Amino acid sequence: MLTEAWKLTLSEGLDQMAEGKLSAAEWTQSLIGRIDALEDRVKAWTQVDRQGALAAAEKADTLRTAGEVQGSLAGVPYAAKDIIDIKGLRREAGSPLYTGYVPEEDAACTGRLREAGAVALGKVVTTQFANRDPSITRNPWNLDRSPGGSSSGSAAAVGAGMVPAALGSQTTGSTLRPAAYCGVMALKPTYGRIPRSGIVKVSWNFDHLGIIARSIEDIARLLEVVSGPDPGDQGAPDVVVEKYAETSTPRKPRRALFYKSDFFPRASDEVAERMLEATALLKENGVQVEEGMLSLNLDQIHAAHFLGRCVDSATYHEDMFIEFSDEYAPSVGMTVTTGLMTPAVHYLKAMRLQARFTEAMDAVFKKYDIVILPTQLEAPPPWEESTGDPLFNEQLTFSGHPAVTLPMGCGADNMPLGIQLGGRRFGESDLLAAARWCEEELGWRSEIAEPIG
Amino acid sequence: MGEGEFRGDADRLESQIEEMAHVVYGLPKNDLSKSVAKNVANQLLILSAIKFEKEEEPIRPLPPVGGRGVN
Repeated sequence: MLTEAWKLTLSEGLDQMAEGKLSAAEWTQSLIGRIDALEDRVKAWTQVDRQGALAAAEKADTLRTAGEVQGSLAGVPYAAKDIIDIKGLRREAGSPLYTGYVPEEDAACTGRLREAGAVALGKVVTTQFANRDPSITRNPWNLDRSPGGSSSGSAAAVGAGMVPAALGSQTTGSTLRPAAYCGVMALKPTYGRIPRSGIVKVSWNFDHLGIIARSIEDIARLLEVVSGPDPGDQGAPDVVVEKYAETSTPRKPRRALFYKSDFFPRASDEVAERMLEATALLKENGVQVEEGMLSLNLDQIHAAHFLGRCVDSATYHEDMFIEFSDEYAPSVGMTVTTGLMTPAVHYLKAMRLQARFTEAMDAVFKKYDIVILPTQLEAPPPWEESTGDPLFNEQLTFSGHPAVTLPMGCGADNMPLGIQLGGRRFGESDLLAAARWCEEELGWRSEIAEPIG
Repeated sequence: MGEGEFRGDADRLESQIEEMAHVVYGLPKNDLSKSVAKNVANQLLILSAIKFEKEEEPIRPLPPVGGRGVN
């Protein structure tokens, strides 16, 4: 048995199990040990299902020993953000209004993971209703800093080596930004690629489920399991689900569009410097990188996305908010209040702008393989102050195009920085292939954090 | 992209937004509602400055068929 199996990526663990060098139970037990060693400081979990996870892992081992055919993720441990239902585990969404709620069914995505043999290790912290009020979770790279949000626990747990992969969600920047802050990788797929049945909603128009892991191959393996239409989500179209782990073998992107002028005025100096280094590295390695600008400015995109998101949230929360407003954290209250104050015609102007911008981005991807932008404005803020600014994640969430974040080293204070790559809608194979090429050829890799502070 | 214009009463926008939410949804008027109304008014003015074509639909374009992107 490997004594430090918790260090394995998802794909490494699968390989070890296939070769008979590791059992699912050993892997799960090792991760539980890592959680027990760090959780009092990182505070990433709402519930660790030790008994259930070990039972599921032992079942996978028994079937493997018996030579039974199993799913593609048999024995693979994962965690889910606490807005996503897992049958029999608490789902509280960070709100006292849901204290003790236990769903009787899986969400579509977690049900598919169960079918594939994955082991639900537990639930990880979300900010309240996946909004922007800081959670208790700390950044494993520096416990005084924010792990980002709203998928705070997902990113922190993967970054700290407590679990190889976790599901998150993104309505503005809630998967990519936390992953970048915690030095790991993430995918915010095309809008509708992963069905949202069985999750607490923030916005019907902008909610995406996301995947956080420590390699792009890991993300591809999970994506091919959780994607595809579901009767519970009318926003998830019947677009073919590819074998993403196979179709995303590393491929160098030919042409890339770098949105320098849109983002540099608002990025910190170290983010801007690191982005220039990253794009220079891409050019040195044969990628044709051109500079361009978005078809709308950041303020216009923000106005439309912000009001649209808030109206959706207000519609979802209206009854509960009016009755229990004291139970809502400040940023959730502001979100709902904003939505209730937004005139209907302006809401539809926002949706018109979304349609226009989506079409414009579709046109960009007829010429370019990827677009490049920073994942974050600056280094993570102090954990109790903010989850950080999601401004640089808003554009591709608004348009619904897929985006990944890759670590590109650390800044002056030794906190991770991320680079964001975007791709064509439902073109996850090509986007992940480009990201895997960057990971392997340019060295943009994840490292496990050893918490200090 | 053409420019639109705000044809309302910008000076009363914040107070009327706050009043509308109070009348329609029963939201209390307080420091929070005033602060939020100010931000909403700013965002409305940004959107009002964008001109839309009459037939421009508020519906996201259909996804590509076939699964390998739009190209």
